[in-house]
Amino acid sequence: MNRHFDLEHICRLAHLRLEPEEKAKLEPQLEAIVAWVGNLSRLTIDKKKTEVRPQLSLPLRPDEVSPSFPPKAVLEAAAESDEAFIKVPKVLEER
Amino acid sequence: MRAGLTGLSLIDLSRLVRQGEVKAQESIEAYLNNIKEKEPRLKAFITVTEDYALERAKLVDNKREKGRLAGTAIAIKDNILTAGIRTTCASRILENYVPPYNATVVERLLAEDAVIIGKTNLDEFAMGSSTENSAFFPTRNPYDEHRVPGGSSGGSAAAVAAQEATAALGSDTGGSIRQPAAFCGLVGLKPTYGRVSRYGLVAFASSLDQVGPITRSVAEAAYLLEIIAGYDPCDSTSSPQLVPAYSEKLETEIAGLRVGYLDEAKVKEASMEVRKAYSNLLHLLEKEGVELVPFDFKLWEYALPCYYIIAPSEASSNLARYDGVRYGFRYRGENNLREMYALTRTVGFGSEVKRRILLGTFALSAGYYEAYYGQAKQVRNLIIEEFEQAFRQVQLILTPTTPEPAFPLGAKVDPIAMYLSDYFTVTANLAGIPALSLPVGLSPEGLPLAAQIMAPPFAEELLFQLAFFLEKKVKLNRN
Repeated sequence: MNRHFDLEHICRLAHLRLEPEEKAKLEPQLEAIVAWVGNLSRLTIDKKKTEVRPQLSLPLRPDEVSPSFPPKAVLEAAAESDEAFIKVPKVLEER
Repeated sequence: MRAGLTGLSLIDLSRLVRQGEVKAQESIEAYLNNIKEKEPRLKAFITVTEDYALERAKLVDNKREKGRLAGTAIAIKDNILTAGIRTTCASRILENYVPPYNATVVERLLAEDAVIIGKTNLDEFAMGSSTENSAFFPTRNPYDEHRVPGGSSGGSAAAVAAQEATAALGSDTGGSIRQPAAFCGLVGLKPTYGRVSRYGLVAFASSLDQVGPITRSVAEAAYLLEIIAGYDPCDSTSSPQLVPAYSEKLETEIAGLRVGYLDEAKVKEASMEVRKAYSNLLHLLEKEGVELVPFDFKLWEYALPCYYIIAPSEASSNLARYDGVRYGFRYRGENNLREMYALTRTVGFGSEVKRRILLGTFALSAGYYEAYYGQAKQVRNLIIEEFEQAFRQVQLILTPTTPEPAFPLGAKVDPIAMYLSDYFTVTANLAGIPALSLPVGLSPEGLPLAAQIMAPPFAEELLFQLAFFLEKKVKLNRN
């Protein structure tokens, strides 16, 4: 049993809501996986040594204006749209 | 219709089409016939693009100058975007998603007159090792229909093995090209990180993902890599290094080559037949004058837990975009945004995807970040260093690809047992190095067994050369 794993809290962070049945199935599996990957903590690591690794350099493309997707194609992929906008449910709640 | 067209290699078929001896339409029809006959049982494809493929074939036939893939039928894993062709990632959340653009790899195939024959099944969002995590249906292994084809690119591998496609593209985050290629008796390559553009590959774990070929021979994998590799301004992680003509440099002298191998302790978890095939291969190389060097990789045991922190962490962030707003499924009936987010994701994602999102969210959450994600990143750096040291002593490393041959459908219920399928493959993704799986024999039950060759970054040429040599030496009866 991993005492740290608060499934309700993690679900809130991940925007997931599990049915009790799914929760009952996933919770022990997640605890087992967290315990298994937690084996990494057995390794003592000299942080100074690993933190100085240079990052690979990435080439930049020229900073030029280029055409974007036609708005129509983008809007077509959205679940709900209205001419130039993607529609979403209410963001602000009334008090 | 001519018999045997679907058995031709990518290279021979496209040559015959270029020379006008075979029509692209004839070739595509032969593949479509195979698909009609075999798909009801195999289920390698989520979408077969029959009309589109026949239309494309006609266009190819009408061209005077034909490309290097003229008339070949290429299957594309369904997490690689195809303009106007549904791309689902085998997920309910993208079930009806039709992308407005092609992935760069698809553009490159089309520019060489390849014909996209369909979109292949996978574990949802490429998360799995058996293709059983597809939200739609599992795919079956052409060698034994009661067994899995491997995963996550299981549909791509099954389609190529069953001659439903000339070759396929897959994606590999922890073994997803190599393991299904191994299970289906094929060649699968995960190129060096940055060798192939990922523009239009649906992101799973961005520091690990690569697109690569699944083919019936080493020469075909080399030929296909030549076409899909190279810098892409749309992917800032793609490398500007020039792409060698891999397929023209396959012949080489292998005597004197220094090859690292895993000691007994590292392969002890593998099945008897895998260990036997591996040791036979080592003996063969030794007889050919290859210098074998034992490879004492201290952190090998830690690679899998390290991977299963890093990959889910990145996945939890990458999959945050599926919220019912810009694309994909939206849960209807909620009039509050947060509720809509949560219910869309809860209904749209399958169990394995949820498991990995939750695991990654946990590893990145306040209070646990350093202990889990921070530690895993440091272990990853040490793994990279171990490879760097190893490649100062050897030119290539040889390992088994999988701990066992294809397992029966439904055999692995415990997620950790499934994760162990990636035991030999995840290290290459963590280190960003290229790795190729090739068939090296058959088990007593007639299932393909495979070996993996790993090389330093951008040394695909050498990788192909050893693989090409081994392929000639190891006679395998492929049907």
